[in-house]
Amino acid sequence: MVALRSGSVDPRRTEIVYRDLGLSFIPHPVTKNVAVLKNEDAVKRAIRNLILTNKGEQVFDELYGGNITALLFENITPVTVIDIKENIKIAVKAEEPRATVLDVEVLATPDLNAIKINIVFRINDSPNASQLTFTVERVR
Amino acid sequence: MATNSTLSVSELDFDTIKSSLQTYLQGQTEFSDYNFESSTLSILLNVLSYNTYHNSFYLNMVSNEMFLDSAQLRTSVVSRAKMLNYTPRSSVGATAAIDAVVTPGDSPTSITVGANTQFSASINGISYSWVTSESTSLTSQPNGTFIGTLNIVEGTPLQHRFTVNTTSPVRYILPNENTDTTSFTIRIQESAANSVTSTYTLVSDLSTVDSTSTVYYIQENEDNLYEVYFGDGVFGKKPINGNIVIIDYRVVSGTAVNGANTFATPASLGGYSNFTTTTSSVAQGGALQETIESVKFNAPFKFQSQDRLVTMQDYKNIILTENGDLSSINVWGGEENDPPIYGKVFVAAKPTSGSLLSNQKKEAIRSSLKSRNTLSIDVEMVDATYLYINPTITVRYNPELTSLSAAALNDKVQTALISFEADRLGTFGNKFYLYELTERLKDTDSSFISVDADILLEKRFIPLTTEISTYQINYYQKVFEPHAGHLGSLTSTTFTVDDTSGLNLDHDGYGILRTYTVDSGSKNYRDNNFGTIDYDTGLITLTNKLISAYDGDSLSIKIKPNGKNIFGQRNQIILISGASIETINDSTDTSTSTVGLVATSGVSTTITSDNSTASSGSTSSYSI
Repeated sequence: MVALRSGSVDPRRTEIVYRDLGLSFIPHPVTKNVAVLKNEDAVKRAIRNLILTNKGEQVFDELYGGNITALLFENITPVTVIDIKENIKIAVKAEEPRATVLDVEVLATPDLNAIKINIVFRINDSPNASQLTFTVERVR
Repeated sequence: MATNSTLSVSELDFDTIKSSLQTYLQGQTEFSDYNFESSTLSILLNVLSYNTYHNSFYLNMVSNEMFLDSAQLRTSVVSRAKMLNYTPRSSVGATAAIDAVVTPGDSPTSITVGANTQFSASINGISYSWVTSESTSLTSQPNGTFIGTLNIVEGTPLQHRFTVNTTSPVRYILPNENTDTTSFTIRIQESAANSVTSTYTLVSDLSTVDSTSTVYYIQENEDNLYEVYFGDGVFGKKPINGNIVIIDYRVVSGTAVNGANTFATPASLGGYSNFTTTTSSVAQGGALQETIESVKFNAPFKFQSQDRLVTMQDYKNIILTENGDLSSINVWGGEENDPPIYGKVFVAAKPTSGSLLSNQKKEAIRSSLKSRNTLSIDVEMVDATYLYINPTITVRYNPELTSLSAAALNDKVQTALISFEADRLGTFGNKFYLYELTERLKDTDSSFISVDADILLEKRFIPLTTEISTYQINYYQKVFEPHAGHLGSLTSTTFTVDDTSGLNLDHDGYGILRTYTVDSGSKNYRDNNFGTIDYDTGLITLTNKLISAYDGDSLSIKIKPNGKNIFGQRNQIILISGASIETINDSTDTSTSTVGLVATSGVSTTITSDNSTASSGSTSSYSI
């Protein structure tokens, strides 16, 4: 699939280049099929999968992952925030060839034991930036 | 769906499994992101690949365990070996012999030391239990004492009883890994009310077993324990309901007790407390349970020989299989002897600890072989004899190619020499090639320009200092004698004959040995016909001599061999001894480091019993 690796997508275009599954496997309310993610949504889902994977979690590829959930158990300090940002940038650069990270914002809310992450990225060859925002928190 | 309709299923590696799945699925149009590591599709493929990998590994392991060559688990190896009619050897208790002298206070007609009389020996602070293996009657002496040799074996005697129940069958499993199966005594009692017992024996030849044969079988079970089972009413008598199986056996410590020579005695022997004991044979023969590697090696050989002793290899396989404490063995037909002795097979064995087998052990091996070898062929156990190579090594090195000192270079050569001896010599049938030695020594450092070596061959023996004896010292090597009358191929250490001390041996160049003393720096010949030397065979004969004393631990005779390659013959084991190494700086042509005696194992080999093998039935004639 060399064509796909070098493929590009413009969100304004209707051409579908990337197709993936949602990890939640929620069926489509009408067709009852598993939801299909396309283009920008597919890339966003992939980045989220990547960031939330801890190093050592992926079999036979112990360096894969953003290691964010592992860092949740650290004291939230400015240094930890920088670590999280760097981990995200490095992971996306290494593992997600479709996207280029433009900026990462990490908002720590220690009282809630949570971190809000906002990743601004650009899908390759697309003129527009995309944004992925999600919150991770400790559950124990 | 997929246009790549072929899915490769032969791969066992995770990455290639995943790659195959990717290639296969990329042909369909519904999804496309297989190539991106972070995609959900890729995560699903990881799970699928890992599961496939897991199954592949499991199946591969299962198939490995099905074959003797590739099996890793002991239970699998034992099971595969069972198909070849091979039962792995259990741990074996060491044996020793003790001479006992009992002085009774009264006048008994006989004294018997019962079986399982307890002794003990302490090794490295650990006390080990020893027992007499059988009941021994001591012999009455004119002075009122009773003497005898007690054979003792290491181990703790135990007894297990099982009641036969045909409706809910019992497995007769002995719950100790270190069980010595050779110690089994198995009886079956008729019932709890009827104490009549029958003794059962280990089946050795299935062709002699019928429905009434009182035999038992042994197997190692899945828990690495030994299980006894009996006949099915066709191949051996079948125990019936209510019978009581009584198994007496010992749990042993294997090799840990080999070499024990001091034994603490019980309070009384045969009921008498006034006694003395001396160790006549130190402990040997203790062995651990056969290893997986050994089972893999021996089982096919046992199957080949079918438990029959016909060829030389049959003897080697069976003796090594049944005796885990032997490090090397050689077998040859008597027709190869000089002179030939027809109708005999000679067996020479070297124990793992020590250099010579005890008479007790030799007899045990001999009787074990006798029941299986060809009729009319006698088995004779002979001791190993040692032939020592004395190399004089000269190493020339280029000082510009090394930063090491001459002494350090000399050390490297010493280490290499010791390593060479350990690797290539020390067992029966070894072949020593001088070129191989010098090449190996030269390879130890890149600064070595050349390594030269001259060798002498040495035999050592301990003469009987109180008895006129004949000694045949056989090197089995041609002696350097380029022309008749050549001198200087034989030397010896000093000894005493007929009150003349300081005697040395040499030869006249025509096959006659002479003795001489060194008086005022020159040889003073004392006996011009002390013995003979055969230059072709390397046989030295000293006939009817009383050598009343000798210098050092033994009498040593050295010859210069004709060739540079020395092949160990029959019961001969080659070692290196008395090696000297000189390192020479090639730039200055000066000797920079010399070592006179390298600590090879031949230096300290025990040869105490080398002269204990009588030849031709004569008690005063010894082959060395």
